[in-house]
Amino acid sequence: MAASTTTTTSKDRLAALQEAKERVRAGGGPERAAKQHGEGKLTARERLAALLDRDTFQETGLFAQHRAALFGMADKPLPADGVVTGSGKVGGRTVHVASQDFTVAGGSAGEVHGNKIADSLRHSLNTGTPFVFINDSGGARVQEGVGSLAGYARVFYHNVLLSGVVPQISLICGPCAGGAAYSPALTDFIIQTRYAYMFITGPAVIKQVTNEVITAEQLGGARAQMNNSGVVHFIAENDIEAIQICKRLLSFLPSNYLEDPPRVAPDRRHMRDDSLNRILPEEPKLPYDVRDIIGKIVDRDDFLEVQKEFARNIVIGFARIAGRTIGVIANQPSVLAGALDINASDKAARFIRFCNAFNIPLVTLVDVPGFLPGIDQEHGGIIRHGAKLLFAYAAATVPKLTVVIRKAYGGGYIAMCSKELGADRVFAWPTAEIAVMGAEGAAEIVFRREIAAADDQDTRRQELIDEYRDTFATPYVSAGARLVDDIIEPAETRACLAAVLESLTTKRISRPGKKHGNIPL
Amino acid sequence: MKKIQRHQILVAAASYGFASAPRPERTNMRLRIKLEGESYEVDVEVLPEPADLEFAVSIPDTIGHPPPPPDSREEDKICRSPIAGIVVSVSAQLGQQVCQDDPVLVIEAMKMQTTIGAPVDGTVQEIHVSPGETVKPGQPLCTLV
Repeated sequence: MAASTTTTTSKDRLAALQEAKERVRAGGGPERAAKQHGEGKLTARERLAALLDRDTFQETGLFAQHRAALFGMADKPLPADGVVTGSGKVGGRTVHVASQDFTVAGGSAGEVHGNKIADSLRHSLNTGTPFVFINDSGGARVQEGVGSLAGYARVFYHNVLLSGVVPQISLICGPCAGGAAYSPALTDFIIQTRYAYMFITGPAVIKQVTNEVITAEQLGGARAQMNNSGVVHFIAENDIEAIQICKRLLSFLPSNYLEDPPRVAPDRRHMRDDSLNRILPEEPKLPYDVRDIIGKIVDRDDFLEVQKEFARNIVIGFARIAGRTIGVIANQPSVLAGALDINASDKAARFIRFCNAFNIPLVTLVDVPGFLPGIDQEHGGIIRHGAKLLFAYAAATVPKLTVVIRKAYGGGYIAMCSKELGADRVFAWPTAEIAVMGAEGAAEIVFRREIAAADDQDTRRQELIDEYRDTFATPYVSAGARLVDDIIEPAETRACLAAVLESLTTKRISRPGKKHGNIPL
Repeated sequence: MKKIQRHQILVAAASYGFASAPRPERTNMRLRIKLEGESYEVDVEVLPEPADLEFAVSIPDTIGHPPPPPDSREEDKICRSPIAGIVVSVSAQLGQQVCQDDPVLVIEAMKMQTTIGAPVDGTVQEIHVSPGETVKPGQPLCTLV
């Protein structure tokens, strides 16, 4: 008898499997993929292929299907339910990923979609590996009603469970609107492309409610979310650059809070750099770009600045010294005189807490005239925002190294990781001025009577200002009080930091037991 | 994708960057280069390509084209003082074309000079302050079109 045509052979089953996988992997189909390309974007799977090492992606939930039956959804299969999840390797280290597929129902998030992301998050948690979430979604899948919201909520809950356990990085490569924006916000870093936007309520709703007119890009484009709100940590020109930033960022970070950051081969750059002895302008009123100093202290070309365009009066970022990851926090004298304000305090405090959670030593470069005076600062709550910076530094148990470059005045001096906030080493350059306040103001207070009594008040005032400055506006008084451990030649800064970082690798301090501290949010 | 390998050359204490095809088999080279008519012999160290930035996927041609320029609002075209201080100098001139972050004027505040850059690309239409003037935070300094 001839073989029955209805009998399914193993070969047929394999072919069917292959065909089914290819069908799902095609997502919304070649037309929609071409549209995505035409808009300058990669597809969900291309992004993962670009992110992950070759042939390392292991997919989970390829055949996942939504359970919605209403509004014509019953006979409408959505490949992988609009999100690609699984694990893979970046630079040889495992990460877990989720990548929303805009070609499938606009990347809309239904219940299963959300649960797939939450599952991937759980795998990250269980394995102590970083999580990367690539966002490109039109929002909630309205046909699924509250099930869609439940999916989001599960993702948020898991983001919080993972926070401080493994690094979480969000890439925003397309729309990320409404509730969807809160998952990235709960992660450690957000990388947004110039093709993407994020907001809670969009231009249409804003127009309806407040009658304000604004475009999606003006409202929630990368520039708005960096410069105005500080929601975003990195702006990428396109998907490729976003993935490059993500890989570079991961290269600085440990996989979880129990590991130390990966150490790379120490770079052979000279430890001594004589140009640092000449880098400051002779005139104390003239600003300089503190990033030039950072560039000479850290391993060559190895500074990844975070939130470059937000609160530019403070510079933060990851770097390495002799191959060891550090977090740099530096006042920027060329912006707002380097004064600390609400946004700078928030920016630095969050970065310090991230570094502390993931065993990254802190290197603080100080040139701060103080906190920024102003009614909007006071009424905006500079007291509670500035307190975050104090709290974050004092609570950090990682190695803390401070270099006072020039000014360190008043509350700003204390806040920038002073000795008494627990700095392990405080170095000062000979140009350091460490005092309660500037000489002019201080002399007016300390010598008020003496100036008033003088025959020539202006001359006497200047004499007393100079006297105050010579006495206090140097690092020697602070070094005498052991608030500065050593006064160093600027050229030796890199060598000093490298040696101290080495000596502090075994630093362990224990803190009083508690559920958690209460940082002034 | 064409690979570019990064080189750094130190010539007369100035640093120049250039790109060339990679030569992975050599990490040190001796090159002769000409700069403004002068000929220099230089030792070149080939820096390793950061391995973590390689892609396991071919990138469609449409990706990587410059994205559209950002929308700016009328409000963004007004350059406002970020800080209370005194105007030291105004470098921008009426009708001048400026790019974002080009210096427009200098303010002295908290005993430090702060250079104020253009908020967006544009042409200077109006300058609202002059040297010696005291400014408040948020006060308009100049308007671009």
